[in-house]
Amino acid sequence: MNEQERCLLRELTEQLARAVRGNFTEIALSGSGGPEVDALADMIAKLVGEMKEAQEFIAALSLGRLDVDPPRRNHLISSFKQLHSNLRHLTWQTQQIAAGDLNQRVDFLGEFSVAFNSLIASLREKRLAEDRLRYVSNHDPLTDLYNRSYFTEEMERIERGRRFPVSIMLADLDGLKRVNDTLGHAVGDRLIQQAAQVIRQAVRGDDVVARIGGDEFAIILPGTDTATANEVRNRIRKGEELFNLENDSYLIGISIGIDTAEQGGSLTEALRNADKKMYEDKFARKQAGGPGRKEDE
Amino acid sequence: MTKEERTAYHFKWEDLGDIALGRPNLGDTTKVAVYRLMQYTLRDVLATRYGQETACDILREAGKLAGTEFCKNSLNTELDFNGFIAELQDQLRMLNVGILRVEKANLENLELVMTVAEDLDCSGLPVFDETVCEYDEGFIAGVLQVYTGKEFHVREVDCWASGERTCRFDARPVEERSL
Repeated sequence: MNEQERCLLRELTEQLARAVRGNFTEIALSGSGGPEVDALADMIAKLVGEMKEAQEFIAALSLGRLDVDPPRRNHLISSFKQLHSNLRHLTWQTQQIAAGDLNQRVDFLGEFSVAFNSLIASLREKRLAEDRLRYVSNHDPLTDLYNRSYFTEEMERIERGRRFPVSIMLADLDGLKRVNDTLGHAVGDRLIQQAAQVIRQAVRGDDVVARIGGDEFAIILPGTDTATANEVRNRIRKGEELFNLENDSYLIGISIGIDTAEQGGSLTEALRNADKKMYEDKFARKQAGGPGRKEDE
Repeated sequence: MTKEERTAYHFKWEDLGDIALGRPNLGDTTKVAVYRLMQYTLRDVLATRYGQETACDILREAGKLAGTEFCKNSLNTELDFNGFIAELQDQLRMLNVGILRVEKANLENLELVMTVAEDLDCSGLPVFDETVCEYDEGFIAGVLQVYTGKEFHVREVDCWASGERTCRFDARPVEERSL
């Protein structure tokens, strides 16, 4: 080995010593040596270069800078690249969870996976409880129809909307008191449920059907004119008739009043008119001695 | 399949056969090495006969056909994106194909970055500074095409064989790329 090569080796040793201390500044070599020393110098330069890349990437990773891509073809930091990839996926998963997807699941991150998955399970349970609470607060437990409070909210919401004309239908069950008194309240409850079913089957999925009193139902029919609302009434009558043909222990009779609001600001008035018309219908049905008439009222 | 049918052959899912009937004792699984033996010998012959580029194209095209049929026959395309990806992840894991993960998903322009760890095709291969998962590129493109109705260009940007630990795929609709 000549002096030039010995000098080069000292420089290379210094280069490596600096790298070990975390200083990757390149030392300008004082010349070239034989092919073996030059090959060694090249490899050390490559190693130090890759260590520098690795240090920059790991520093960014430690700061949570996941937007910094790992250096390609750098084999020194394979495990960090794996971690980086896992964290990127975890970031995406967390974004999905924030957007409401609680079906995300983390694997292969040891205890973190267990903790994360149990957090998601808790959120899922919480959401189910909230959904249940929301459902209970909006629905009538006997019929599963909406309740009065939800009906009132929907009236206000639809009043402000653009789906006019809106028809309001009020329906009152005839003869419930008689059924309760003669056959018992359990049968009376069944009658209410079956009447609710008849009404629900006559309307569209997005119409609002609510039980607003013991034997009183209210239906909001958005985007429905008087003629179409009358068709809904006919479907209820058909359902009532069909039920009464198949049952003889008690009959369903529903008095119905309909009114249509042609534009916003008039829904409350339509509700009042529908109520009035419902009582007129009840009186007429009583006079006619129709099925399930309220003899006791 | 008759010899005549073979001349105008178009793959059908049923061509995979009744494995339970045919392999009552050996079952429906085999070693990864067996799969790789077939893929890499086939790749070798294709490259020798048609050149490297054409061999890669053929593998990509075959992967696309596989992805298309797999999606049609094994996945529920009615699910929303997250549900669909979750089902795809479950299926690929259950079949020991790999661990699929999404790193980025822009659902407006359908640009996706996905990774596959422990990939059936390449994980554990010697490192020779090249990506080799052309079959996977085609497979992902086929799956996404069936799900979205759009043709996809999928490029593998990182691969075990290029020295990474995870295969990373960049996917985007073809028309987006040509803009």
